[in-house]
Amino acid sequence: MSLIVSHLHKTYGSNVVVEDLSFTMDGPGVYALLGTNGAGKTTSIRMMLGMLAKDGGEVLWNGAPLTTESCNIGYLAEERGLYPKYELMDQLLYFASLRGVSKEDAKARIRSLAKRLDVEEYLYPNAFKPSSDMLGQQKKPLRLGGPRKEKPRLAEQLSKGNQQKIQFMTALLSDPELIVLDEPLSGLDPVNTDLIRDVIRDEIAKGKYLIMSSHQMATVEEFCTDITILNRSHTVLQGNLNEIKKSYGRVHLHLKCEADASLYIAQAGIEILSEKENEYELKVSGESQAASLLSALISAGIPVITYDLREPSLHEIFVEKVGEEHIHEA
Amino acid sequence: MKRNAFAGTGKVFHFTFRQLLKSKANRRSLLVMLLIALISVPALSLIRGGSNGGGSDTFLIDNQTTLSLSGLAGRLEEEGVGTMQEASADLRDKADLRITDSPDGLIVTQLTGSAYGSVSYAAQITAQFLKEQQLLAAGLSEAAVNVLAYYPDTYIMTDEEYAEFSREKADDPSGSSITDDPAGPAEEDEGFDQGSYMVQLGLSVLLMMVSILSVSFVIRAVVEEKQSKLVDLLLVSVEPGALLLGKVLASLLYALLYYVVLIGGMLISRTVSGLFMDTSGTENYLTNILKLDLGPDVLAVLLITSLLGFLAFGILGGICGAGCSSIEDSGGAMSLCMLLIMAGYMVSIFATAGGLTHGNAAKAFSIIPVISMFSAPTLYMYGKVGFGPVAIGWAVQLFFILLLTLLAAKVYSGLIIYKGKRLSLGNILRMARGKEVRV
Repeated sequence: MSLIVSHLHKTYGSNVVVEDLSFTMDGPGVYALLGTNGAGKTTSIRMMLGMLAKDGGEVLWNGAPLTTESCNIGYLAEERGLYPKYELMDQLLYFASLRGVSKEDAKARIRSLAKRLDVEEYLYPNAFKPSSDMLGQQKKPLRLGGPRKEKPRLAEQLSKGNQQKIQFMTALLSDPELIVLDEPLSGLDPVNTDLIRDVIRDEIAKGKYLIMSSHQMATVEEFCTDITILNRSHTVLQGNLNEIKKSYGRVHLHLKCEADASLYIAQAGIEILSEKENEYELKVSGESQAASLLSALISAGIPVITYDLREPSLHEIFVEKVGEEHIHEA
Repeated sequence: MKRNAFAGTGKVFHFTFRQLLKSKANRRSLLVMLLIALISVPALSLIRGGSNGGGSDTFLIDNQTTLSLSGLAGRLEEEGVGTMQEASADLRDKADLRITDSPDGLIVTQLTGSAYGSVSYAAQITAQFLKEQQLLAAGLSEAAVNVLAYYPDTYIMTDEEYAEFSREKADDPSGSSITDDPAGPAEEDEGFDQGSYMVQLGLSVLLMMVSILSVSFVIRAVVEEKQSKLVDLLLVSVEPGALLLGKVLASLLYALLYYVVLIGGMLISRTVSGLFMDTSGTENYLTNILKLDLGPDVLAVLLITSLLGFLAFGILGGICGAGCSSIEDSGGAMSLCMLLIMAGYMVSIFATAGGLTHGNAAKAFSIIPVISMFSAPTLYMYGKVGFGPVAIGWAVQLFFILLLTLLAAKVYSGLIIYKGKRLSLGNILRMARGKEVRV
């Protein structure tokens, strides 16, 4: 199976919002679409999924146009929402039915995902009602007709994080082949972030095709093999993430000393990216420049605690690339 | 339009309808409707002065003419109105009806009871009886009398009205009288007719209410979906046309539930009330004064015409609703639909009151979209138009719906992902023509 996105183009009047976007996924894996706000990521995804008319280009899945009929697609939109006044289970079963999933299969999948994402108590309130013993309360007299049934939960009764987990479930209800996640982890606390991360890892392990758009570079770096960086509607960098990093070389030095080293850094002609209490992020021209700084510090008797020469992070590459563009435009 | 442009409509319809049924507010309003329907027959019987002992009313008639009223008592009993008694000289002050002779003809004056009560109905029958007698006396055959007597509705006057009428006649001897003159009432029928006006008014109110309800359901559902940021998630699974049509059909079915509850409740009310009280006066009122004829063909015309109207308003509401980004904006979308519904309602009422219920005017009101929904069923029921104009009206409605569907197919997908100031219908039409939208 393969996904080919070829020369996607979109304009609104005289405003170009996506300009000639192309990329390919030859096999299962994770592809990242990165970009500044308004760079055209969401518009590109909407065009790819057929929600928005393309002005040019095509999207092929196994050689045929990508549609919901030709490919089982799961989508977590950037603009997330649920019907606030409707019961959660009703909504999930509805979304599953729209994706062609039978009620029985949907129920099984909802139960499994609810367990993994720790939202069972909202979807099955009666099965997860804490007993009075658990709460340390005095036992109430038995009620005629059995225990009172808890009312099904509505979306508006959930916290934002829990709503987000329910929304994430909707993307996976049909066990999709192609999963598109637009900012999957934004706004989540670390515990919930880990829960969703685990599910994403499992989907990758199952051999799914995953397209991810995110501002959280650490997340992208963790999952993605290939990237495209968009800035103001056009592609500024594209390729395999490891190869891109290698092409930059080991030019980032993380240095921590027991005394002030700024004089020696300046003497070596090295740019300081950030500095805090004798801990420096430096940009060096290469391994020899970093080595000469290290020998200078040792000669001066300044104890070095950390010396980490590495390739730039995706965050640094992103900032550099988008920054360059802005300077060119200025 | 794509072949599968409406794939998924059934699922959207099922979900939307289920949620409408689950809504507490909606269930409450259905319950209120049911209660109104259940109390309708006993309330009407009480207002009309019907007794609850199962007996008939007695009408005292002050006959100030030399005419014989033999046969009238039998007619009144036959119609289930009550028993007639001629007032003797000492009981004249207590009479319910008075028959007087004037240069213009015989005049029946109603002295007691409400305008739509059993006395009023007795006066109606009395006037008709007198006319028949006069026509027979003039040498007309019984068949001719039956035909002539069917048409005119003699105007029944209150005491005050009669005094006023007498004064006017004295001032203007050439003025026309409203009595049992065969030529007069025939002209009356061309204009204002109490029965058809009452039915038109009642039906128009009901249709207006259901139209507004179904349109507001559609607009609310469309805007809530947009506001809840669900559109992206839904569009990856279902066609935009299906999202709209599913909602329109669900809202339509829900609005029709009001019909079912209303009619079902009234039938139950009629059956149950009949066990405890005398409802014959109410039934006579419906069949003889309102001349309500709900045969299968009339019901079919009513159902099909109103369904087509609801469908058209629903699609229009959906398109206008999709141009709004928030519930606060939706008032603007609702106002256009309200304007059209109110226009149809007002025209139908004023046309009946103004006597525009014959000939070309009646045909036009049965054909013109928006108006036909309100006018065609009543005009057909009272025989003012045949099936032809009604069928043409349906064809025009269908064409109108097709145009709206084509517009929806063209602009709906763009509208539901649009965010910003509410788009007017003008802007939506510009969008359909591929022109730039001016917000």
